[in-house]
Order: sequence, then structure tokens, then C-alpha cells
Amino acid sequence: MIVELTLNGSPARLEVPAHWTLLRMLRDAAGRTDAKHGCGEGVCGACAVLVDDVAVNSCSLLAPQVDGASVETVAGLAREGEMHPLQEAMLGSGGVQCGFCTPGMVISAVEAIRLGAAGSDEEIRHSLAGNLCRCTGYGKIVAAVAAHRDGSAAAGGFAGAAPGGADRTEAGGEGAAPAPGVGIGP
Amino acid sequence: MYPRPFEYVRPHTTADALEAIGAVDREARPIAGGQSLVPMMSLGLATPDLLVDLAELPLAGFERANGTVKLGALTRHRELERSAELAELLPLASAAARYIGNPRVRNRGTLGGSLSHADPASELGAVALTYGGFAVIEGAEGERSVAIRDFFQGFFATAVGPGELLTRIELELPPPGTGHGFYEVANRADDFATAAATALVTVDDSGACTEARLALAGVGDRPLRLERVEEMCRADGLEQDALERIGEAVIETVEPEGDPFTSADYRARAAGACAARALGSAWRRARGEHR
Repeated sequence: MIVELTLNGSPARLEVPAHWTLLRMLRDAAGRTDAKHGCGEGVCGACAVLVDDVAVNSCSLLAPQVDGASVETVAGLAREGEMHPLQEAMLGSGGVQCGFCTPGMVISAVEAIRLGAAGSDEEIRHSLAGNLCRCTGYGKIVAAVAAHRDGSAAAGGFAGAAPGGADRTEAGGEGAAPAPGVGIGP
Repeated sequence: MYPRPFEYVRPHTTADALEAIGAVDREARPIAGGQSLVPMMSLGLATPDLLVDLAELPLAGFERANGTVKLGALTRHRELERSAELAELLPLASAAARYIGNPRVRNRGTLGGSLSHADPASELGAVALTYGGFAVIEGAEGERSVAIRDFFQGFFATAVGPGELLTRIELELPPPGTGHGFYEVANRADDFATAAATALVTVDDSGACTEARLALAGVGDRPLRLERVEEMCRADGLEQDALERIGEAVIETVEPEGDPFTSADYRARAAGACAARALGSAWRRARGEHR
């Protein structure tokens, strides 16, 4: 079938089988390998992209479901060769090691900041739940998101990154209230 | 790692969708947010021949009517989580929605999809059971209402029959003086609940408990209401010593399964702790002691 969409700001017309996932279409039909194939079952977040400005796991959407939509991968965040400030912050805070989780982390964090869901380290961690990193650890990634939110691209390099950041076991109640008045339409 | 081939249609009316999923010669499945179904297809656990995408149907959104809130089946988890109006009307649903999957899953996943999928660890199943009300199911013969207590029929099994769709649920608004509480234990932040508890507690002017509702997720083949424990709340109140007895009663009542990561005993104890904490915070909210 033909899927017509806006991909990183440009119109795209892709011919793919209806049973392909969005991730497979991005990588194998559009050559957008910056969306990473990790688990393929909606657990790791490496394939996260924005669909009509909403972050989704592209492995858990089907290609025909984005017909007519605007899809943005992490590469689409750069403007005229300049990296997105959050990407700069990830470098500045040492939030990147092997880089495999980074595209999904950046997509999720960009959405979190736009929704006002990155006000504290706790909120950032909630917003990045489901984006797994297996090497650098989460402390520096959280520090990068906080630095970007606060308007400073660099959090002082590796030495300046926040300590700690071990995996958190989630056992909790209602927690921090989400920002009021922010809704997502159907 | 990828879904097996299938045919895909995206009808514009509920009637056309019902006709498509009513196909008898092949396995047709409705798809809404797809956050359970697409991963299941990628894992080979679901192999439909025909997917009927419900995205174009007018089944999103909510409205307050006659002491209930009507919620369309396509209402996304993210709206439950982030809508200030829903947080006011159904605060327990908002509190629980934050614990579904992760933000990407909540951006796509829908209320109707979650309830129809009927994973016994689903937070929303327990939420619906706690508020009570009706599930509205549409089929070729028209619409029918099923009490939510009769909706969940077992492990991934509901009252929705072949060729039918859950189109909305109608949750009962609790009376003034009601507080809510939610507590969940999971191995990881976005993992399935080891156990989760949803509670509503209503108090009178003197602050005494007049009604308590408690449901649990993750400890049975479906979400469970614990009426014996609710009766204890009405009889004994919910001060700390009563909550400890309530926690013990929950541990004695539930009969969860164990798995390689979580023993049945641990799961039961987690359920007891979740129940006591959810009821405790519902009680304190009802009495105006915290928001």
C-alpha cells in the first residue's frame, strides 16, 4: 500500500506492505536508521519518534496508521546542521555512551519538556520510563534533560554530571501531580 | 520480530467496523492504540488475518451525565492522566493512569483497548471496578449494557463477544465526601504491576467511614473487588491499627499465582501493602487531611 506522510518536514510517499510497522517503514523504506530497532515489542524506547508531535514507540505502530501524519525522527530535530539544544546537552553532560538509546531518549525528553513534565529529576525519570539505557546509566541523561530545561546546553561535562542515578525500583502512589490544563486530543 | 502479513482496513463508521470484525471466514481483530496488540503480533502471540483500525470512529472523549461520566472507548490513557477536568471528575482514574506502561504507551493506548484486552494486571480494570457502572457493547444486533462487575470474565476474557465492540463505559460518580487512593508495586517503573490497589472511601460529616471500595489488580485472573475488606473498613474505620488488620485480611484473601520473578507469597504481601496504603490515602483525602 501507499503511505503518504510528512517525514522530518518533507512530504514522503512510501510503498510498503500493510503489515509493516512504522519502525520497519522508517528504516527499510525511508532509510531513516536513526530510529533504532531494539526490542521490537514496545519495552525499550529506542525506536521512539514523534507522530503529530506525540512521542510513540514506532515498533508498536503499523505503517498504515501514520498515513497522513507528520513523523519526526531524532534527525529531524536538527536545524540547518545545528543539533537540537537537548542533543548538545546530552553531549555536554556525558549522557551518551554507545548511543543506541539516545535517539529515543531525546525524543521522549523533547516531548516531556514541551508538556512541562520535566520540572524535577523525579518528573524527568517518570517521563523517561520505558527508555532503557544499558551503558552510561541514567544519572547523566537526567542531568542533560535538566540542563536543557534550565537553558544551559552543558552541565559541566562528565565531572559536572549529577551523582547517583541508579535504577529505581518503582513502588509508589499517586506521586507528583501532572501539570494542570495540558491535554492531548484524541 | 515483525508481525505476520494481514489485511488492513480503516472504516469510518461503527456499522462498517462491526461488519468487518464480524467476518466469519477469517480472524478479524479490532485495533485501537495497538499498544498490546502490535507487540503481541510482533511476538507471534496474535496472528489476525484482518485488522480493523478503529481510529476514525467517533468514540473518543468524555462527558458528565446523570451522576456518571461517559468515557468513549478511544479515550487515550494520556488524556486520563493529563486532563484537568477528568482529574477533577475521576481522580482515581487519573492517579492510576500514570502507572500504565510508559509515556509512549500512554500516548497511544486507549481505555477501551485496555479493558477489552483484560490483562489481569491492568490498572484501569481495577479503576472501573472500583467506580462501578456499565460497559456499553455494540454488535450487529445493536447496543447492550453490561454491569462492570460482570464485564471481566477471566484471564484476558470479557463480556465482549465475537463481532462486538466495547464502545464506551459509564462510571458512577461517587458521592461528596469521597476520597481516592492508588498504590502500585512493580519490579521496574514501567513494568506490569506485581500488585496494585484502587480505593474510594466516603465519610460522613463526623469523619466516619460510610462506604469503602477496594479493588486489586495483578493478583487474580481478573481485577477483584474485596467486599469483605470493604465491610471491615465500614465497621472498624481506617486508622493505622485497622489498616494493619486490613492488610493482613487481604493477604489471607487473595490467591495469586507466582512467576519466576515474583513468588505467590510476595505478590500477596504486596497486595496487602497496596490495599492498606490505597485505603489509607483515600481515607485521609476524604477527611480533608491531604489532597
